Amino acid sequence: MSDREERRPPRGPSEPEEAAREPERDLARDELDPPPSAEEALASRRLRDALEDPSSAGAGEDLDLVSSLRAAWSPGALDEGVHAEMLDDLPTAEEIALAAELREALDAARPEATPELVAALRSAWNPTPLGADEHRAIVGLALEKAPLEKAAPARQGAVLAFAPRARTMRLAAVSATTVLALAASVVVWLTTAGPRAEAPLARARSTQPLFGEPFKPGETSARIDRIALARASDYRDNRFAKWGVR
Amino acid sequence: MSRLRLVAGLVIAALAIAVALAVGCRERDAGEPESAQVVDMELMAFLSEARALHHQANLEEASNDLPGATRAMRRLVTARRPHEGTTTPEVEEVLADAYARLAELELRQNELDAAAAAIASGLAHAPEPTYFRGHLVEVEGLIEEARAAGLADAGKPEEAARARARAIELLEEVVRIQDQVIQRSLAARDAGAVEGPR
Repeated sequence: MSDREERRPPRGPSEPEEAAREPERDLARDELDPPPSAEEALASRRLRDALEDPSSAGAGEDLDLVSSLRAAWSPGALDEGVHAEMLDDLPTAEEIALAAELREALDAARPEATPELVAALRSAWNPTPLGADEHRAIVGLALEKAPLEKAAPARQGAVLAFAPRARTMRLAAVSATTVLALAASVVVWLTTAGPRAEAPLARARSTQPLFGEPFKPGETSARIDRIALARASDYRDNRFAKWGVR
Repeated sequence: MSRLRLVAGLVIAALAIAVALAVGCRERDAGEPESAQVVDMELMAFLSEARALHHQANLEEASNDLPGATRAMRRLVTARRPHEGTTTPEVEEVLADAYARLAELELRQNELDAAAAAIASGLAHAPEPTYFRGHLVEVEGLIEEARAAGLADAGKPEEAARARARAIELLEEVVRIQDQVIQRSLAARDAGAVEGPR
């Protein structure tokens, strides 16, 4: 007999009638619900054994099914660690309520009436242009903090042309003057230092200017005399110049 | 911070302008004669040596020793020159004049080819139209004139005619050179930019 037949409830009140109808019913039941095969009977037996003693479950047994059936049939106390872990994973009622409130606020049609957090989240997720009033309010708030506006509160919110302050102008003028003076001194220093100091020295040059007319034959030694004397004078001047005597 | 940047930028810009101006001034001055050699001891030593050799040649000539005078001039043109590797105007002009005198001495000894070779060497030291170049070309003309006479005496009238024509051409060139020199000299003197003869 199968396991299902074992758990079947007791039969009706009239045993003889029922017994008389038994062959007919068995025939109909066999047609609708045929008896288990040997394989099904074996699987049923293994499941039963596993339910009675989970440690005897074989490798091929579905342990999740076994534990689920066992828990449904005969529930036991949860392990404390598992229980705490399950509770942590679940949102609290307060969290659920806050989430619902936030969702409703994000979906609200009037963004100006929402809290700051909601506006920030909405702007980050789906930014929209600032409204004119909001823009004006932000600018006004910034201008209130400016020193100029503290000095002239009547101008709050007004757009003013840039006007450099007198101190800045003085600083710029002093800086420019200093820089120009420095540049001029560099120019003077660079253009007067070095080789300029040797400028007065006589330098080698053509002797042509020493002669006022074309050369005549036989005057060669006279020309070298003139050249040597002229350059000797230059050389003497140069030596005096190098000695610092003029 | 922005002011500091502004001032720093102004300083850097001004310094850059100043350096550019200074470099520009130096570049402009570089073309002036300051880059030439100073009249120094080396130059004076060479001029003194040249003067001595010229006077030595004078003495040799005075005693009719033309070969001795020629040797003196050859010593001068082969003497060690100051500031080797650079060109000094005085040295170049003294050498050009020495070659001209050497050519004259060779000419007086009827060594026409040697005289012509001396002229060729001397012209290399006087490339510009100056009295020195004019004098060299003048002596060259005299050499060709002597060559023409010698060729005529040797019975070579055609070669003599060519030498004579060459002499005339050279002497004409002398006239052109000296005209140029005189005009330049006068123009420079009017401008007050040159020293006069002493």
